[in-house]
Amino acid sequence: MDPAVRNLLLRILRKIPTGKLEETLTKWTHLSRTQQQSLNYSQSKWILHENIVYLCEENGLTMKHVSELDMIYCMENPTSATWRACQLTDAEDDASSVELISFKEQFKAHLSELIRNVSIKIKKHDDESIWIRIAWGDHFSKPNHLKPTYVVHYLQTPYVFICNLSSKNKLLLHQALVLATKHGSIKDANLSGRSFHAVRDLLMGHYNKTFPTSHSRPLKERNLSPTHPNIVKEHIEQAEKRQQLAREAFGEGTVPKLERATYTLETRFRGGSGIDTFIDSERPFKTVVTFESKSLLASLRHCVSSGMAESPVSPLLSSITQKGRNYFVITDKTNKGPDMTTQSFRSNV
Amino acid sequence: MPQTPEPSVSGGRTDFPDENDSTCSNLSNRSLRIAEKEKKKSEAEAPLSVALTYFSEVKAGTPVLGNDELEGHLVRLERTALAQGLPPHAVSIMLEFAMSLRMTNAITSRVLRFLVPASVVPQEAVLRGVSWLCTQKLSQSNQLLFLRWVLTMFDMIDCKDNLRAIYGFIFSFVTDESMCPFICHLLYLLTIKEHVKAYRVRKLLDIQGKMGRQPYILQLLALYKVFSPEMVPHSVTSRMRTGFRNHDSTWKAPLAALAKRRVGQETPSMDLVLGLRQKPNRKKRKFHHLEVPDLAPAMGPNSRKGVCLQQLRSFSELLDNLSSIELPAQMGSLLSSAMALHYLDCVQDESAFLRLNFWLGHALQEEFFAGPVEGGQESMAEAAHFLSMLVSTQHFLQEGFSATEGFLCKFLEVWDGFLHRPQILELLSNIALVPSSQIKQVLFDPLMQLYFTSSVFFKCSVIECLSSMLRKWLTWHSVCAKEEGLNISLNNRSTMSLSLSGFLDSVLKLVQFVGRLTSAGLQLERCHTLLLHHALGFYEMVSDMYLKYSLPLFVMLPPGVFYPALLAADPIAVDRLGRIMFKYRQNLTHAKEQRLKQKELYLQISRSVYEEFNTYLVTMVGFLWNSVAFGPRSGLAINQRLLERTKVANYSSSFNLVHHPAFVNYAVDFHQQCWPERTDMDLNSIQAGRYWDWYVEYLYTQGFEGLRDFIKVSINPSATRQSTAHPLSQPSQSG
Amino acid sequence: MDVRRSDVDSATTPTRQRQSWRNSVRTLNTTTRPLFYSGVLTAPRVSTVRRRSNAHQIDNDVDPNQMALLVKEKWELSRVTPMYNFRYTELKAYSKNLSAFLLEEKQQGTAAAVAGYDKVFAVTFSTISGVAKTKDDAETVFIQINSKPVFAAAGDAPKVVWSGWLTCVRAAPQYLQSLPPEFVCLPVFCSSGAQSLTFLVQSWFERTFDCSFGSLDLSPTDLQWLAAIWTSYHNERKIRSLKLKWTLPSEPPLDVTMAVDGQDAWDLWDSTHQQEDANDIYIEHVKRFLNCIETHFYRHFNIHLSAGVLKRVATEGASVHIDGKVKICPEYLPSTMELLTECAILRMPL
Repeated sequence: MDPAVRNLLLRILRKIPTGKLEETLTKWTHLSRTQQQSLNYSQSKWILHENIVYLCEENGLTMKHVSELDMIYCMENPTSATWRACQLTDAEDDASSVELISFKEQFKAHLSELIRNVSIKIKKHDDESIWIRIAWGDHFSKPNHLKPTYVVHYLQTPYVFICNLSSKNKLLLHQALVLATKHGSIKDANLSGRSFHAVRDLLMGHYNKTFPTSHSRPLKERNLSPTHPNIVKEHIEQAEKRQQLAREAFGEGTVPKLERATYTLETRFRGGSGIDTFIDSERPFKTVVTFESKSLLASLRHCVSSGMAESPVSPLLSSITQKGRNYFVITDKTNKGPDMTTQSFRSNV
Repeated sequence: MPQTPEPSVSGGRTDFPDENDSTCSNLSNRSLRIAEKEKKKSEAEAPLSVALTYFSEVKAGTPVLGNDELEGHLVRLERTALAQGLPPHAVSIMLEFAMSLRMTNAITSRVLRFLVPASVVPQEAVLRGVSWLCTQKLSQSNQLLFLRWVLTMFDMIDCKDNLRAIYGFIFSFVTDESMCPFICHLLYLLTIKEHVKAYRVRKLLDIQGKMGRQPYILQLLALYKVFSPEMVPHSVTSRMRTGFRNHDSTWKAPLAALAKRRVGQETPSMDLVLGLRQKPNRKKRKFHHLEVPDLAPAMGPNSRKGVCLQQLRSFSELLDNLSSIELPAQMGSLLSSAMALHYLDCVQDESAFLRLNFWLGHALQEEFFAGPVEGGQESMAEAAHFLSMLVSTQHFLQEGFSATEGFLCKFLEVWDGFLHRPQILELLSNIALVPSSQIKQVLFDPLMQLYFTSSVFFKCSVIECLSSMLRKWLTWHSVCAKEEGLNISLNNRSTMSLSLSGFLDSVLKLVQFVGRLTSAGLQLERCHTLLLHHALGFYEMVSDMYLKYSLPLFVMLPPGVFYPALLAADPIAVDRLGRIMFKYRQNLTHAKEQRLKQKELYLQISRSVYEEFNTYLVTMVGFLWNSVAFGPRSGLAINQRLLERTKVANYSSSFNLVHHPAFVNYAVDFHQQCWPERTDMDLNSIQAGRYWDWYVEYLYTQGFEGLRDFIKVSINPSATRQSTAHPLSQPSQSG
Repeated sequence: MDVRRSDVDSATTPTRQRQSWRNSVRTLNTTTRPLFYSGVLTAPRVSTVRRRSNAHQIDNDVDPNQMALLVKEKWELSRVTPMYNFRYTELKAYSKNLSAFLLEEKQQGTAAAVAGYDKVFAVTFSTISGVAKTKDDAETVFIQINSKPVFAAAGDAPKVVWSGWLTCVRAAPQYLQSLPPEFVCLPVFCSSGAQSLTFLVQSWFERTFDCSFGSLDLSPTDLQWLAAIWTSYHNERKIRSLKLKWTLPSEPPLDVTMAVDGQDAWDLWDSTHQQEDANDIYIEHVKRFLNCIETHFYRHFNIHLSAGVLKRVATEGASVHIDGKVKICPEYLPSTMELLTECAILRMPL
């Protein structure tokens, strides 16, 4: 087996946790049933991987097959790198009629024109999304499969999600995408995160939203812990109101798992009493505020419902879910103006 | 092997050589099926021990091929070893088996490959392995495999002294070309200064000449050079970059898996060695600070030529060398043994004590105040052990450390009353006299909070602790105080000086505090007997302060303690109350006499003390003797309706020693003895005439000495029982 | 024991002399009974005002090479109880002793991983003058552990595997003076390097000088002080941004980092206090400064930062984390060390 292929295969195998290895290999379907059954998953990883490589060698698999394994794993567990969301604008008239086969052909054709030596693999996922794996090379070298770029696009929607893209290849990819989807241009949607599902759900609104109602009492929780009849909660009304506001702003139940939100503030100083020089001046007080957490929206929701954040929920925070982005530049003129942010802000924080 | 139960040994004893026969005959008597079942059961229960027994007993020359039993045992052992590691005795047995080459070299190789120890490797096993190595029976590869095994498991060998002892034998292998790298590595790990000898250096240089400048020989020579630079020639030094190579590839994976599993089940061991643990810094600290340091002599170029405490073995040696012992490097180490404590008792040096207090304060602070508590039962047990050690040390030295006091002051504010309760209360009773300005904030407030929110048993413990504290203060005062006031100003650095009035102030505050605690506590707990007795014990001490401890302080017990004791259902309480009143009378009388004799003019006893005492006296006599109870002047106001509910006719004039609930059974007893023929009980007849006196004598014989003292002193033994008590007269001059 | 007052005059004097002199001498000479603990050493208090040293003083005091050693690393902080019998004249002996100790531990396998089998530890103790400011402070001691290969040729530069220093800057003089003269008080210990080596060095100190090491945990107020102090040095050393990080106790925990532009932070600080006492920093000003920043945040996001804990303060040159990790630059050295010394002494067990 070609050492590069073997190297790649070992890398991929090491990336996959042992628990998921079995099902990934089954989906891959390039190892026969008997071969798979002959593998002993309780052995040490090193031995197991050697065995798998040996079986692959027996079957004579090539780079194409190995990259397919990578893609399958990535499609199942897209949390390895940071995903960025982009939005296609200026749709042409027939943009909504683009369908899978034409998109595939167009994209492959355009990208191969723009750059030689690039390896493209396109797969359709169960939920109607198109996954594209691109290994970049250039005029002199073969495609580098160790650092592939993944692109996910939902047909008939203007959303594209990209991960692992280096800046020199960005223009090429954008160009190819724009042409293949029959849109005018593509811009950054100011949303990024590690979990693809989270980014997608937030942008496309696929989570439990709560809409403001005129009903004052929300639905009762299903599992109320039994309380003693003598215990009276004094602030139960306020607590419920806060809960409702929290849910309206950030969703209910499991919310998309974002990691951070960044705000660049260039507003007037609003710090407090008696700071004369500052209040009079028109000069903005520049700060950059970053919120980070394992699951940002859950943290913010908890902050609101527990009273750490006052109601009403600040529009800056609720725009995360309403606008589906997590990079903001705030200036005084138009509060939460959706300005075009450049990449440079991201590099600062 | 199935173990059939032996027939009971009585008379005809089965001889041991016949044991096998009896087993066989027993076997043949029973059905084979049962025997098989038993065999399977015992094997299932202890497969490891079965396998080990097999390997320790198998003889040389047993066939290998087709030996299913051998194969089964080997597989079982292999599985256990790779999963959890082998216990030390298993390692010994298997190593012995492998190195003695009782079966083929292939089996030996296989055994060595899975010989992964779980915890330690006993050094005897390695020793025997090396001695088998000397017999040169093993194949070359197995010899090397064994050496690699020893190097990999080197850190797990429990003690290396014996291996160091056979350094010479190991050294002799260095001439063998293939073994040389491993032998050099092993020698590198075992070398100490005594091993560096000139002939060994020469030998190494010889080998170097033959085999060229090999890195492993150079390493060993470098180490020799570090120990004795004069023996190794300078020409040996050169640019060396590589060290010894790691030879542990065969066992790396199972060892790593084992280590990972071990981290998962955190079992902190109780032996707090100063070695390295793979735990974050915090945990290391936690285990470290509670460990009493080892006795070690002080380092430094000008350490005095004294005797080190470690060298002394018995108390007489300690006494002989008392003047020439030097202080250890870490004062905390003096807490480790009884003999060291004896020495600590004699130490005068102030900075030595300051060192000890710093260490102790730091240990207590780290344990109880620093960060979240990790580790459940083990760390609690350690802390309890440490505190108990501290308690016994303070008990031995008869005084407390200032570090303990500082710790307690901070700890009381955050204590929940449950954590290490006995030790904390014991330590609390040992603290030195608290100045009266601080006593409320430091001691009273936190204790009060805990006292009123806990069970009656905690209340009793607190009262006991405070009694103990008072006793220690009083004892100290009576032993160490100077004559005219206590002007103890310590070395010029400290500014605290204590006068008699300051001392009295603190004691007074303490007594009053306990009075309030006990009164309120008895009310809350409905006059619980145990609490009452603790309170009475405290006041027994307080009542005798003047005569016993020569402290001119007179504080009466509060009504909240007096009345429950007087009306208690427990005769011992009444008896103790009598004793207390007796003591009070004694003390007050003596003080009055002294004052009248103009001897101690500073004795000021206020009027109110006498008044209180007299009231109590009158009440007590009224209740017990005069049948004048529940009157308006008795000091006790009880609701009429409540008294009516007792359904006692004429309650105000029928309460006395006969009808007191505590003494009713004695009265009944007496009645029985007096009038055994009477069928209906009429206790009033005891009150008539001589019977009363006889009844009172009878009570004395039952052991009520407190009552006896009280009655003898306070009640005029005149004919009529309507005599009044003898109250104390106040002194003529106003207080 | 029934000592009666009346007998005191006549019989007690000889008894008192017969009574062991040890008892009475002990109550006079030792720090145990009857003295309550608060009289042993003068208790330190938290200061509410700090003096800011002028910038040009800083440069002259410490030798630039030594200063480079102090500012290079990120240090982990610990506090130390006073050391007994530490002599500045014996630093060479201490170096030898410590390296012998490390070698012994390496033989047992505890320190082998750090250096490797063929390297030896070489320890140097040195003093850095100029860090201690008053006459009561002890001189700073700097310890460096190099590992050099056993056969060192001339060109071999020893590799520094661990460095640490003990310091005391402007500690409360009453506390220092109440210690007996045999004790040297260097309450702040900074270390950088392998954890195992730190542990070994601390054990050696504990064994040799009978001191104890504990972790120096800072409080959010200390971090606020440092934020204000570093901002106040803006004229001497321009900061680009002042980063403050809070952690809010939500489920899961939320980290909020505010990076305030340097010039704006300086302007804000300037406006929180009057101009006259530019050299004294008061706690009220510090609180006001932080309060303004928190309020500015609140006005935008409606979140109370006071519900969380301030965990980290950083500028380009310096940073401090509440777990006791600090990195400093030369201008900030004296004031930062003074604050840390005060923290360490406040946490002393006696």
